[in-house]
Formats: sequence, structure tokens, C-alpha cells
Amino acid sequence: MNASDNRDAGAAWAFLAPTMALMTLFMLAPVLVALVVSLLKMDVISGHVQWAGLKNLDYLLEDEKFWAALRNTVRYVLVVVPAQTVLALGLACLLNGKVRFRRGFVTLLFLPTLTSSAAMTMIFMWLFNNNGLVTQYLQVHWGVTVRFLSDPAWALPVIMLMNVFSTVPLFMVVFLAGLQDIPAALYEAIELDGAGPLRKHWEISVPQLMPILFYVVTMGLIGCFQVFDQAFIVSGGDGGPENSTLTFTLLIYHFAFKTYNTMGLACMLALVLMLIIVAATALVNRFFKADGVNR
Amino acid sequence: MTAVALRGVQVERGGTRILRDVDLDLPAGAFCVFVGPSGCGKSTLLRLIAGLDDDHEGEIAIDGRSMAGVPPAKRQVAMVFQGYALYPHMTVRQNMAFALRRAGLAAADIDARIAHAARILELEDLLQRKPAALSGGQRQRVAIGRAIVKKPKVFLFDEPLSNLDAGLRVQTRVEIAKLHRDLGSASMLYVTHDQVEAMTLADRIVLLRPIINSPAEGSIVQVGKPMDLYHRPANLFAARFIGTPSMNLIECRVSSLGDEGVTVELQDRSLLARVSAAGLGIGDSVTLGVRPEHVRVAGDADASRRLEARVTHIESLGEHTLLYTVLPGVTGQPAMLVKTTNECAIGVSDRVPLSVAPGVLHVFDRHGLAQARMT
Amino acid sequence: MKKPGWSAAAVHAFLIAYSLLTLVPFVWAILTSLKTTRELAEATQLLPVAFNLEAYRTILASDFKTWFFNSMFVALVVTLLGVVSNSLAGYALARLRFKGSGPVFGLMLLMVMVPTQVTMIPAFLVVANLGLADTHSSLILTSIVSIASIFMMRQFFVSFPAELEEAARLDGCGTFEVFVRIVLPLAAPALATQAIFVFMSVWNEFMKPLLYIASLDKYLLTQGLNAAAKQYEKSAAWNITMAGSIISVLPILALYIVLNKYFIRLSDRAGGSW
Repeated sequence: MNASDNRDAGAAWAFLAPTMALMTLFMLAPVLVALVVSLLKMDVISGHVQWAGLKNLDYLLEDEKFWAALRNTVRYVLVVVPAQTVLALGLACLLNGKVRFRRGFVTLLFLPTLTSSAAMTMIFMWLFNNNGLVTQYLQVHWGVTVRFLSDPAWALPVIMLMNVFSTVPLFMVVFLAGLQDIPAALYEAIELDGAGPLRKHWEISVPQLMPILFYVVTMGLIGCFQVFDQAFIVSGGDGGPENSTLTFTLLIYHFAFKTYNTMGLACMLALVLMLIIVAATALVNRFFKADGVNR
Repeated sequence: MTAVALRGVQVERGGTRILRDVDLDLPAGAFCVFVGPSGCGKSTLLRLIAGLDDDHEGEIAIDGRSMAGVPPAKRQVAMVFQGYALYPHMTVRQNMAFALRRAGLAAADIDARIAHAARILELEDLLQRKPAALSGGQRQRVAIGRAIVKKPKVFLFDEPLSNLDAGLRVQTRVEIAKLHRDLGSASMLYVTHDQVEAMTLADRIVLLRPIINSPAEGSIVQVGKPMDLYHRPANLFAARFIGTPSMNLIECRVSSLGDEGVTVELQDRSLLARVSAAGLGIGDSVTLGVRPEHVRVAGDADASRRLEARVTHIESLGEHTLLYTVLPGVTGQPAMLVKTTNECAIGVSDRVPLSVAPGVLHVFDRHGLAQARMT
Repeated sequence: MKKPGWSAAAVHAFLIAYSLLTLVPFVWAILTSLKTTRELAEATQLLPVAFNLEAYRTILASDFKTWFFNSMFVALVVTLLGVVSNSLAGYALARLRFKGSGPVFGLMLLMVMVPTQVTMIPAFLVVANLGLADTHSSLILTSIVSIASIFMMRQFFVSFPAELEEAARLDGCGTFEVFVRIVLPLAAPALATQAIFVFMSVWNEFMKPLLYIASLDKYLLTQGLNAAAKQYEKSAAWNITMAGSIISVLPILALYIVLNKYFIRLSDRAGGSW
């Protein structure tokens, strides 16, 4: 009956009031704002607006910085997501076995995830800058001189390393929880059939973990496409050296606050990024669902 | 005086009809049991009376007052839940006092009620404990105590024994029956799927059936005293549900009708059943029913009572023996169970004579409805 | 026959190696923070000559202290208000019957798919238009709603024994009372997990304060650390920067040591229970 479908309406809306108010203001409205502003030429300081329409999109596509950001971000995603997924999975599989002090290991390994990106970036910058421990070690023991943070070829890889280092523990714990749910009997059965450790995990762990794998890859993807903090801090905000650390979000930031009259570009770029993320997620989704059915 | 009255109650959930045409008048002070297999809607009915669900058509009245729009707390009912639903973070005393404090009763009054209930249920030593520190049986008593202190017009029990192990179940059954007597005029509504609980506890049984696959039938099969349902089941469903092991049901044909009853043909013999012949014609297909405990292992001179059976399986349970037999010449029928207390030297494959008195035979017409018993 | 001895040793060896690798950056940061600036410049030894707290003293005497308290203030307020508001919302979606339930849930699902970094810039425009630029209020208001938390609480409340709530209704409790007297007290683990999740995300947040806060004295710890590092980089005073970094990790570390199991639990929940 209609009345009883709605009987808690009063209480429900009261409970939801703060959330709905804040969500509308600071989540819904911004999306709408982005849609509108992306078609404008806007000066944030004076508030002056001018219609630009899809010219903003054209401008973006002609900007070499856009393509640099695209290249960097895609490269970043293609390296970091597989790396952190595989490493997290591997560690989780190892920890799932008969390990003494498992709690201790997990507790210890979780440290990078607890640390803020800012603090972590500082520490890594100190490790990899021209006087850094790693740089010096390479010089002294291997005779190689690499100026990591000022070399366009190395700056982004350092950030990649940093991110893998930080997020692996989080996903490792997620995988571990999933592994603990797998009945031991499955592993025992396949051992009786003569499977070694690698085969065991490939045949049992991976298929059983498919939903979690899907989640980790998707979350990893979304997170990586949005990388900002480390790129900002390492490059001092400009995306250098030579645009090698310019990521999408950093470019959005530039258009929003560093250049004149380009807030519209910032919003347009944000929407483009959103579309890319949706497309990438859909791709992963398709891949996993198809695979999931077969397995 | 009627404690609970239901008129034309219909319930639909997600496009499926759960309850149809429920009309009931439950007298005050009685112990009424809603019994039926899972899916018959008995718990739903209880929850409607409690007010926990109000999505239904029809009217519900408690103590003569319509319950439309009345929230659960104002209905003067108390419920003992299947999982007891004791508040884990409160002590036993706090659990029992909770509703009374909500209602604004004076502290002295609350203490008096708790003391009284604790005495009846032997909970005095447990009042300061939390539910986690109690055994299953103790938790159940606290749940009952919580209901008692509210002094409700109607007590509602939702399958309270199903979470207890077998021995405790029997013991608690007796305690609940005793409780009903001790509390004098308390009306109790009890839901269970176990027909033994229904038979032993009820003053009145309401037998319900699932209507999911029947588009037109009402939910209520039969209402009556336990012995009424036992001796005079209204239809095949009731006949099968009440009694363990359940009634033997055999299809046969009417051979003659008369003032003494209906005669059916089975195994080339004629058996007389003392039931009304109304609505039956000679040659009609009917179902003959006889309870295993009413079949005697003995010869009988009177042919209208006699059958021949061959034993296929025997289960000896000590206080009685179950004989699984087939009736030669009668094909396509389930086994004829015979419950006998004779320590008879019967073996498998033996042929045994069975006799059935006219007074213990039931006849069900082709719609499954019982023919009225004579006398 | 299995070879337990050999492979178990290899596994442990690898785990120990990886753990040490994990610790290296932090240990190195701590060691650095205990050196004097001169030691750093000379860069000869790995270990500090003596445990020198000069770096810590310097940074604590600076604006750093203010930034630390700013972060603490914002994080605590958001955690408090956020846990309340998200739990209320989660409960409404899990238990209350109202027509808007489906649409609201769908809307939240949609919002969660929108990446936060992406909407942060447009959100800044909204914040600025409301006159809230450069205030802690802007950070607080924009961080209270955590849809992940709402979903987590919703999941928890869905699995909560409904019988307890029904018993409370029969005992005379209205909806709000049922929530406050019966459900919340028994939701402590979920609330703790949510609180940690929210606190940690606010504490570690970088981009949002960078966008919303312009005044130095209002900086949060993360952006302050960045600003300080830039300044100290000029004088190569990495010991001070490392000291700052270590201090910034301490509150979360303390929380982690005390409430370890809730951190792990939140990762479980993150693993796809909604």
C-alpha cells in the first residue's frame, strides 16, 4: 500500500537532511557548474564570463601541454596499476601461507599507506634528489650518475615508484582478507593433484579473487588517473622538468589558477578526464566480466 | 469477549499474495496457536497483529478497538521473538524495565513488576547479568519476563522454541503452558510450524496453508480445538498436517451409500465408513483416510472392516512399532503405515490381516473436503 | 612430499626483505631528522653523530605548530560531524521506508563514480561564491559527506538484527530513539572504523587545502609541509623537512597502534562489501 511504502518519510528526510544539503551544494552543484563553465571563458578574479562553447575543446586538443599530460597520465596508469595490483596480490598470497608473525608483518607493511602523500613525497625527494641516499648509492657502488628529479626521463618513474610503494599495502590487506575466505580444502585438493605454489595460486587464488581483483584494478585506475599531490610537490607545481610530471589534474590546476582566463579550459579538461576514467572503467568492466564468465 | 478480531485480512508482498480472506475471532484468555508449514503466512499474521507491519487490507481489532493507524507501542501487546531480541548492551533488569521506563511508569511500580516476573520465571539471580552471559533457556525466560512486565492484553510468541535444543524444547513447552495458567486471564497468540507444539499447548488451533500456488483458496484451513482437528480434519491438508505419523490416504471408489455411512471398494472388499453421504454418488472417486494408530493388526470376521497387507519394512521404536505395508491388489498407492504397540512376531514379507473400524475411517471427496462424521 | 622447510624459509626471507625495504625510507627520514644541518652538508656518515633534536626544535618553533593544530582541528570536527551525518544517512537508506530511498541511493552511486579531484576545482567555484574561500569552514563543509562511509554504514545497518529494532518499537521507541538507544550503542565497531577512515583522509588530504586555503596561518599540515620544504630546500635543510614529515605521521601512527584492528577492518570493507 502506498501509505506504508512511505511511512518513515518524515524521519528519513530528517536523517538525510545534512547529507542531502551538503551533497547538493558541494557535489551536485560543482558537476553542474563544471558543465556550464566548461563552455565559457571565465576570469575568476573579475568574474567576467564569455561564451566559448566547444572552442575550449579545440583549444585543448591543440595545446601541447594537453598531449603531454595525456601521455604522462596514461603512461603512469599503465605502469602503476598492474605493478601495484600484482605486487599486492603476490604479497597477500605469501602472507596467506603459514607465516609466523603475520600480524606483525601486516602492521609493519601498512606504514606507507598511513603516511600522507605530502610527507611520503618529501621523504622520497630526499632519497632521490642530487644528494639523496639512492643517488649517492648508485654513484658510489655502480658508478652511475642519475639526476632523478631533474631528469625528464626519471622524474615520473620516481613518482610511480612512490605511488606503488604507498598503495600496495592497502590493496594487499584487501586481497589478504579475500584470500582468508577461500576454503583451505581447495588448496589441499590441488596440492594432492601435484600443483606447486605458483600453479596453486594461479588456479585457485586468482579466480576466487576475481571480484576483489576487479575492485582493486578499478579503484587503482580511478586513483591513478587523478594523480596530483606527488606531481605537484616534486615539480614545485609546474609539471616539470620539461612537462614530464605534468599530469591531467595538475594541468587542470594550472588552467584554473595559474593562467589567465582559462577556468573554462580547466572545467572542460576535468570533464574530459571524467570521460576518460569512465571509458577506462567500462573497458576494465568488460574485460573482467567476460573473463569472469569463462572462469 | 474477543481478544483479537481479524476481518477480511489480505496480504500481498511483491506481487505475491501471502494471506487471503483471514477472518478470525480469538476469545480472550485463550491460548491460540497459528500453525502451518513455512510460507503459510503465520508469522506475517502475528506481525500484523503486533503492528510491526501495517501493509494489509482488512481490519484488525484488539480488545474491541480497531488497530488501524495504531503504532505497535500503543497496542498493549507484548512479543516474544524467535531470537529473543534481548538488548545486548543492557542487563536483564534493564531489558525488562526498558518498555516501562519509556511509558513513564513510577520506579516503584517498575521494580514491583520486575520482582514479580523474576519470581515466576526464576530470574532473580540473573537480573544483573547481560544477555551474553546467559544460556539459551535463560535468555528465553528473560524474553518472556520482558513481555510479562508490560501487562499486555495479548502475548505474542513467534516460534519461541525453535532455537532451543530438543530436550529444552519439551521442558519449556510445559513451562509456557504453566505460565498461561498462572497468568490467569492472559490471551496468548503463539506461532509455530510444529504440530506437536500446537496440539499440546493450544486451546484453539488456527491451521494455515501456503496459498502461493492456489489462486483462490483462503489461508485458513481449519479453526478448532486440537482434538477437533485430530478427529475431524476438514480436508486433506488438515488430515496430513495433524498427527505423526500422518494419516494414511488411499484413493478408492464409492460402492454404496446409505444411512449407516459410505461404503468404498478396496482390495475387492467393501469397507464401511461412518460418514455422511451428502454430495457423493456411487462410483465417485474419493480418498479414504485412516490414521496409522487406528489400524489394528488382527483378523476380523466382519468383511466390511478387513484388509490384507504385506509388510515391506519395520521400524521398532520401543514403545511402538511402525509397520510399512502394501495392500496387494491396490496399485499406485503409498505405503499403508500401521502403528502398533503389540510386540508382535511379525517379519518383513509377512502377510498380516488389518482391520479398520467404521468409526475411524475418513472419507474425502474429489475436492479434498471431508465428509462430515456421523455421531 | 612437500618441501615445507625450504619454501617457508624463502617466503619469510622475502617478507623480511620487503619489510626492511618498506622501513628504509622512514628510518632514513628519522636518521636525517636527527642530524644537524652541517652534518647534512658534509654528507659523509649514514648515522647521525648524536641524537640531535635541533631540527625538531626548529620546526616546532615555526608556523608548523599552527599548521599541526589546524589539521587536528579540521580533522576532528569533520570526523565528529561526518560520523554523525553519514551514520544517520546510512541508517535512513538501510532501514527507513520512504519513496525517496531508491533515488537517493542511486544519486549517491552516481556521485561516487565522479572522481573527487575532478570536481574539486568546480567545487572551489561554489565555495568561493559562498564567500567561504580561505576558511576552515570550507574544508569542513566539503569533507563531511563521505559517500563511501554512508555505504559502509548502510551495509552495517542492513545486517543489523531487525528483531532488536522491532522489540524497541514495541517497547515504545520512536524511530530516532530506536536509532540512538539501541542501534548506535551496538554499532561501535563500525563507527570506530568510519571515524578512522574519515580522520585519516582529512589528515592526509593535500589538494583540497591547497585550493581552498590561501593564508599561511590557516594552512593545514600537508600544504604547510610543502611550503616549508620549498623554503628549507633552498638551504638544503632536509633534516628539518624530515622532522616535519615524521611529526606529521605520528598522530595517525598512534591511532594505528591503538586501533590497529579497525584499520584492517576498513580495508576489508573497502574490499567490496558494498
